[in-house]
Amino acid sequence: MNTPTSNNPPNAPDPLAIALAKLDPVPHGFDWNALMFAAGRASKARALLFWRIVAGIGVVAACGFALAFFLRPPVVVERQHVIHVDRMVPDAVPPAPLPLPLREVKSRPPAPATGWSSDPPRLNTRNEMLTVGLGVLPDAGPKVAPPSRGER
Amino acid sequence: MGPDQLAELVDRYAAALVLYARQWCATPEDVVQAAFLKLVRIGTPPDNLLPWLYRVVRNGAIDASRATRRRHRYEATAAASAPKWFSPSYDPTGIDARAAAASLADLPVETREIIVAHLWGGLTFEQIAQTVGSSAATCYRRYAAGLETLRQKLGAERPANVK
Repeated sequence: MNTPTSNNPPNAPDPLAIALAKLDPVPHGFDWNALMFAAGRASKARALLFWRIVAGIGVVAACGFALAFFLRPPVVVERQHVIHVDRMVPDAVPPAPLPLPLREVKSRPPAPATGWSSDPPRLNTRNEMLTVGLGVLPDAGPKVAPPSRGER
Repeated sequence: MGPDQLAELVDRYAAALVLYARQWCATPEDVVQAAFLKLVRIGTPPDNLLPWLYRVVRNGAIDASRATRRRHRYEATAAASAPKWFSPSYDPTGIDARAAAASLADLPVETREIIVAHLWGGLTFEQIAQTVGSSAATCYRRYAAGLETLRQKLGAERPANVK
């Protein structure tokens, strides 16, 4: 480009520029219906995003509640450990006999001792003989000579 | 933004935006529609609506161009079925649309995007500077240089005030 150019547009427009500007660009080939539909959707994009966020939060909350419901810890129930022991029931236990009615017992004086055990002098002699010996026995009178063998 | 406002914007700017996006990619309609949908999505229109639209279209077209380059199998198809840039001119004294498109296509994209944005998009050089991330003076220099190249290619006469 050897043509010097200034930094400012001239006051008089260039005829070539005027002639070029008269050329009409090729009309756009927009599909009006598609464009208007897309424009309507784009104009509601913010509201759509808002409701999507709200719905997302709701879904997350619902999932959280569902998880909390299904994964909640089991309710602790204190159980008493009951041990069942089989016990043999005795067959036909006879009932205990009823105590007999008390009968009035007539008191009687004790019967007199019979026999030698009840004789105190003889009992004392016996005991002394067992302790000391036969010497304590009283003299029983004249001694009778034992029978000789030849007399038989 | 209501549907009436959107329809008005589309009727008014869509063709020039498609031409602008066509400087980079083979699917300019998709890029422009995406830009309008983005405008609807943000709700409140920006203060500088037209530069904002051109900036969004430019970024989308460049992204689409990169994506197209990655998909080599689409590249040949897009090049083969490239649509016309301009409608046929019914003015016999006017510039031939096909020749103008061919001459424009030969320009570097940095120059071409400024010419398209200024001539068919109606953006000022300050707005173009905001869109492309440059200064207004740089944009005008590129514009003037590109116009001079077009003049040579199209065989147009040089205006009297240009030395």
